[in-house]
Amino acid sequence: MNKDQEQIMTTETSGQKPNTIDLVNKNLAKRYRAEKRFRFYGLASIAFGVLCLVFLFTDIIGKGHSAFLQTYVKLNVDLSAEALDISDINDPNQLAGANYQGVLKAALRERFPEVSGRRTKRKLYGTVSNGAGFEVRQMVEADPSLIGQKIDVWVHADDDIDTYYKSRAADGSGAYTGRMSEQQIGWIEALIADGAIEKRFNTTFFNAGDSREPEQAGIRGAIVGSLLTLLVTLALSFPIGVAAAVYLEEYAKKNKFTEFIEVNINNLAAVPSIIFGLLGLAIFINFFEMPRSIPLVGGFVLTLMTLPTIIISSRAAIKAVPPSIREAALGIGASKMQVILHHVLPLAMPGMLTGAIIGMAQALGETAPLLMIGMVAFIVDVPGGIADPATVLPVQIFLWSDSPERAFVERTSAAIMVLLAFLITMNALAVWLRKRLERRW
Amino acid sequence: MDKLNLDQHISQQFNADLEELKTQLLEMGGVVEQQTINAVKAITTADGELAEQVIVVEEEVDEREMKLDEACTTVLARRQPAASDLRMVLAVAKITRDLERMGDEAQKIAKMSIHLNEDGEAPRGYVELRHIGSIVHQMVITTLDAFARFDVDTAVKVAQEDKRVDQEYKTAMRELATYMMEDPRSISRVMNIIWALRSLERIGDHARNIAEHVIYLVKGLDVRHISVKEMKRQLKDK
Amino acid sequence: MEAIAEKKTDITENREIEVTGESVIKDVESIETVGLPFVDNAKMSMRDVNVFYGDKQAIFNVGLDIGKHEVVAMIGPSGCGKSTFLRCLNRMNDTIDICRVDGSLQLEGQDIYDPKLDVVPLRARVGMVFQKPNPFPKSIYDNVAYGPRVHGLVSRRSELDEIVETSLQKAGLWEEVKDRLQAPGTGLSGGQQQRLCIARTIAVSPEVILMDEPCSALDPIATAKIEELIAELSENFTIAIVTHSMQQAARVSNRTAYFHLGKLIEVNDTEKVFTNPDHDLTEAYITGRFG
Repeated sequence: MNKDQEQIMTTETSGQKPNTIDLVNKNLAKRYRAEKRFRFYGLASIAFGVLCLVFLFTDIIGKGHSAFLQTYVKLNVDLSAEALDISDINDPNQLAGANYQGVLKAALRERFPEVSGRRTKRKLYGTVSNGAGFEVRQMVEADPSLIGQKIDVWVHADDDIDTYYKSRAADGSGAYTGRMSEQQIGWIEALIADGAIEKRFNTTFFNAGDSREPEQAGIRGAIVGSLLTLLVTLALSFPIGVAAAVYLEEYAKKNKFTEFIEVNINNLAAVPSIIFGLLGLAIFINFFEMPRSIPLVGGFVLTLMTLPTIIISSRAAIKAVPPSIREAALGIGASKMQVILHHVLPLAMPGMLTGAIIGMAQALGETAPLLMIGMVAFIVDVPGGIADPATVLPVQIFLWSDSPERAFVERTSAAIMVLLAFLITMNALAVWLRKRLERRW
Repeated sequence: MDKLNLDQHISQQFNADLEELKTQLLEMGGVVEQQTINAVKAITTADGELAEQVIVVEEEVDEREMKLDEACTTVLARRQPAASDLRMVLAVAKITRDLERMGDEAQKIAKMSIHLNEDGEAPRGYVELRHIGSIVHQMVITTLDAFARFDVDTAVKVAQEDKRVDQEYKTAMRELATYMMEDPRSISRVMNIIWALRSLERIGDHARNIAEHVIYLVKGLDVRHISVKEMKRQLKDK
Repeated sequence: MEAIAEKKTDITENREIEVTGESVIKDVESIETVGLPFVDNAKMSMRDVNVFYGDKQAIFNVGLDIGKHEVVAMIGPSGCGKSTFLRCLNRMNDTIDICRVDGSLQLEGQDIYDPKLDVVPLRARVGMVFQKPNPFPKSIYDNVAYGPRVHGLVSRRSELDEIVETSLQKAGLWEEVKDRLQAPGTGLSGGQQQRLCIARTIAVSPEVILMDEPCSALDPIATAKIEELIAELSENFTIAIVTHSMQQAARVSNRTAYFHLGKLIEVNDTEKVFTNPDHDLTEAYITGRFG
């Protein structure tokens, strides 16, 4: 018994009947305090959540934003036929096989004539990316008239130089040197002094597939792989899920068997995704002998995984359709199928679409089941179809986060940012679709 | 279904409303009954004061009629009564009207009494007046009793009595007509007696009407404008 | 202490009431329908209808005729089975798995529970209007046109336009909506929505219209309009209406059927039921003597 109640009792026994409003007022302050506390708990939880989110975003953006810029080195390259080691400039085969890497090396030697000795020279050649030769080749192939000229060419810097230059303050201090020698730093500082090094927007990151060289690595392959996988998943899981939900809600008799199915569906929604990966591995790859690493199989596996989510949300959406509408249509003499097609599905569509999109977003972020079916492989080419080997965004992130090169750290974060952007877009799409479809009436 | 269960509504207020109607009607009935007995007494004992009193009371009866009508309208408007409740309200409205007419007739008798006091005593007719007066008075009491107890059998008795009053009235008429032919000088005085007898007969008719309303109220059966025999047959069929 | 004593008496009183309640039910079990449940020119005729929800019996041996172009009102306390009975008449109870209907229910001599009979044409012949106005979330035009469309009653757009117009006119809604046929049906007021539902029902030209408390969600003016409409419709249609408002039953119907605890207690001409019912239970219900 607390003090207030005691007081009430004493006033009662002493014969003075307590006024109701006095009692209410006495408790009022306590009630308000409790209410304030209650609100504070909620506010604190939200603050904690927001704080975590801010931390996450600051970390990712802080680490990843630099990946959207790439360091380029300017070299004065001699594109004479002799230097390129070709005899006929009109022969595409010769153009394709020319010694582009050689002219770059020559340009570097020319820039730093004091360098001697095989090891030091190799270090010097490492200033530009291994892929720089391809860039020159593309340039020449696009414009063969360049042959015979001596021009300034901007090529990708090696990732070490990239990292060094990005971390370097304007006065040359605080730079991350990593495994670079004093000598290399000297060359780079000389190039910087010449104005022969600069940062540009990193188009490679969005246009290229994966690569061992960070400066050549991009996420296009992963994005296309993800989209293809999701396309397969959506094309399979939405119709199957909706059909299953319609049958369960509208046709199935309520008995032990349907209850059993219902429990299992709910259960499957909570099963760890790696189990679905194992299932996919066993069925599609071992039993049906489908190739590994392809978006088609990935889509199959993710379909298995998202089906329960879609079925559950579709059933909820169908249940939410007012029974009065069903009765109205039945009362006019619509058949069961007409009731479902004309009334139930259109009204349930926003809910079902929302569920499907959320399921898709879940599938987009899924890694574990795809690891099991080989979509973790190192794939350089951008996949051209659902039967080409591919990887997906989260797996790409996983792969990069495992790489030792410092330059992959920022690319990992950048890839996470891209993934988050996709997720936000999809969720926004879900909200927009729901609003739009619901607004019809 | 002889019991109307007027006190068994879910709405206590409705019970009270109907009970109030019944009480007011019986009170009015009591006043009219007293008026009847006083009028007959005034004319037979040539009591002018009593006759004046009967005329004065008539105003109270009129007031009561208006009050009851208003009460009936209120119940109809507020409760939308159905079945026995509806019949109750309708019967009360109609009985009120009959009671008021009975009051009017009593007033006429009282006026005749005053005329007789002015013109001088009539030579004949007082025996008939007293006789029919007592039958009619009994009818009024019985019919009010039938209403108070919602008793159909009692109501049928009233209808039978009315037949008797009609016969007595005819006999008295014939007798007085014969006397008037014998002694034309007494015509104006005897006419006063005849008017009074006529009023008494009318009171009997109204008592019968009330009895018929009671039957309608209890049985839902419209027994107006039929013979007592037919009335009994229909009640038996029910 | 006093309070406790009062409570005790309360409890005992409640028990008594319960006991008397049971005795009322016992009385009811031996009751036959009184009045005139059967007519000569029956549109629908039901005999010995029993309805079960699982093990629970909801309707007991109900026999009733609905005459041609007649308005039959069904009244009774909540849970008395009047709605259940009404929904048997166009097999709306089919949608409930555990519901079972026994007995003979005929529409012009044809058994409507014949397994060979298709419910779709049956529901075209016996339309239904529900308690809550439930227009489809479509335009006014599409609401009315829905029935003719699903039944394939029309082949040309102009015919459909005509059906929509005449249906709305019959439902007394045409003047109010003719300028906004493409506006959503759900944007109308409650009373207009219910008239739209009636228009939707009559658009397929049913023979019988079932109405399940059509005015319970409407204000008095909208109710009056619907009642007026019922009177007009009874010239062309046979109508069975379930209502909680006894005044409404009295106003709109030719005959009134009183249901009590799943049994049909009394059927009589409406004037008779509301001035001098034959059965004590009917009397008690319509005069408000028990709940």
